[in-house]
Amino acid sequence: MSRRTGTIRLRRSLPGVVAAAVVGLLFLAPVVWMIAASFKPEAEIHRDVASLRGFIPTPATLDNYAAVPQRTNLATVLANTFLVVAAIALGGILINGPAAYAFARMRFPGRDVLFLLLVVSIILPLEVIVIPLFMTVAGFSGAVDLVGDRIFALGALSVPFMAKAFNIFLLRQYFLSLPRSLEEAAFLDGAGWWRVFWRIALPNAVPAVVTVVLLDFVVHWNDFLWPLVVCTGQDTRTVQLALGNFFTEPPISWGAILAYATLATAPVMLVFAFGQRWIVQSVAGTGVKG
Amino acid sequence: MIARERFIAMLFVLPAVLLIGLFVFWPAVSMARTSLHQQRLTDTHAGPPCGGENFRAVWEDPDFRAAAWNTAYFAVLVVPLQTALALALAVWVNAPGRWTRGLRLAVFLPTTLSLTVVAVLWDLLYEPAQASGSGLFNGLLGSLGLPAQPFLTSPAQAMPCLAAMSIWQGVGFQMMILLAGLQSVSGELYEAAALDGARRWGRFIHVTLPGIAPTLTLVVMITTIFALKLFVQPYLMTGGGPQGTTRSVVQYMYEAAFSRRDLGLACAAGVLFFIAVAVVAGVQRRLFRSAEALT
Repeated sequence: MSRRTGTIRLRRSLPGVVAAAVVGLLFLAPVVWMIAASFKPEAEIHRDVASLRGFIPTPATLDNYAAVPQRTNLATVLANTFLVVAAIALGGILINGPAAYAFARMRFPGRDVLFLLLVVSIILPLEVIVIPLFMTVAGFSGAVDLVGDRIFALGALSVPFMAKAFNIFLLRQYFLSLPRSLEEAAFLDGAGWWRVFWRIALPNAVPAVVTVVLLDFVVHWNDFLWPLVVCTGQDTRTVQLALGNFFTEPPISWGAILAYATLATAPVMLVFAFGQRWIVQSVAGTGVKG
Repeated sequence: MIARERFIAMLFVLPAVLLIGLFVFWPAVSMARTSLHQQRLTDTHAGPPCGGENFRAVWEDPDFRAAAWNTAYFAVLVVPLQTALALALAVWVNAPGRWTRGLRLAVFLPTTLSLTVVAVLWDLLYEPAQASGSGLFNGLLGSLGLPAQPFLTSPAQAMPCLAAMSIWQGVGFQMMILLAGLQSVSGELYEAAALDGARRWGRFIHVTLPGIAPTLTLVVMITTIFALKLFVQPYLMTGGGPQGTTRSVVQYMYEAAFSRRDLGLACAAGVLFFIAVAVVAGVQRRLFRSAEALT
């Protein structure tokens, strides 16, 4: 009996399953192909491109991965990108966290006007102001003599993106949703605002903080335009810019390019595997509530 | 106590306000100012004011007009297709079942690739047929007995190719946001509609669509701004070609500043671009508001 209903159910859902498999493959295939091809000898990549063999790396080799650090300064580039992303995420919490808390809980003159200005700045994407932002950052270039090229470049890549209106907005929404009772109890115990923020509010807002950090990581790990504009030397590049250079500067070796692309993607895939649900829910939440 | 609260609130807000002022509002203001002056890339200060000269130069530049058309064309291709596809996928994967989970993951996977990686990868997939072998798509066409296509090397096909690739990369994120919206629509509404005898399509029109209207608005507006920001794909894959058919507005600004070394020109283009983005976003908001009022 149960077996029979099982077969009927399978028969009914079969067209759906097949359709899902076909659509799923359309999205998966290029990614699987990229990873498979990155393990192939250079000559095979083009030969197998249109056959099913393109998806199976036989014979497999790690030569492409070995070639990447020989062709580019991979270690420096990865270190730069990690430093920039970490600085943006950490600085972001230190700067946006207290601001979001003040907008959620404290009374001060000009609060509503300032908040409105912040919301306006959300709709000003980097692409619109990229040239004048470059001019603004270039205005600080006197500091190069003080801190050196590399530190200046890393600063130019990170400092402009630490304070972010969208993150303030997201954190504020979360602070508003917390019950006030915990904070009030702390105030009765004689704690000040600073202490209440760090010890009570922020630890209770971990989901929002994680979301903001993960979003910053993905957006700035994947950014291409701003590094293209501000990076002047080999040693100040980020991972996406180096990949772009690798792709446009001859000699082109596809195996190494695809290996590099796979390496550049792996951290983001890990981040999403870990935090995808949080990210999507908080972004969707801004639309539903806002 | 109140005075102390005010003072501490100012301290809490100050760093963020200063940094956003310096790196968002100040550039926006200086863009407007530079657009009315002559300034070369190597000048550290604005040159003499030149009235609307930069705007006239941008407006009469056939490259800028082409870039504006190309960007609008890309948005017109991407926004409706990507939104409709994301909505269809979201409704599909909202059904219970093991395979819908798998489909959700598969569609989401490309969004983890950066546009740089996608551009590099699809450049190889789009490769025209040649003696040394061809790209994946031309290989597939060949094995189906269909003629090879020029793809990125054809003025007519290049932009649709970039659009298709961008939809493939981005649709998963929109699908996930819409899915979250779908799951917040109350099940009781569906039961009530079913009692009223509403069929599948009727339930979609009368329950689902109004229920996710705010989420749909958000998705359309995000997708539109993403489309108008087009840069990485043409910059890396076509260089704006063939025959200027894929050069975007952001690419025009970039080239005005760093190839033609004319900051005044780049800023004038930036001001026009800003106005266009603001107008499009404003019109969309208004349209969606009145559409929501109707339902």
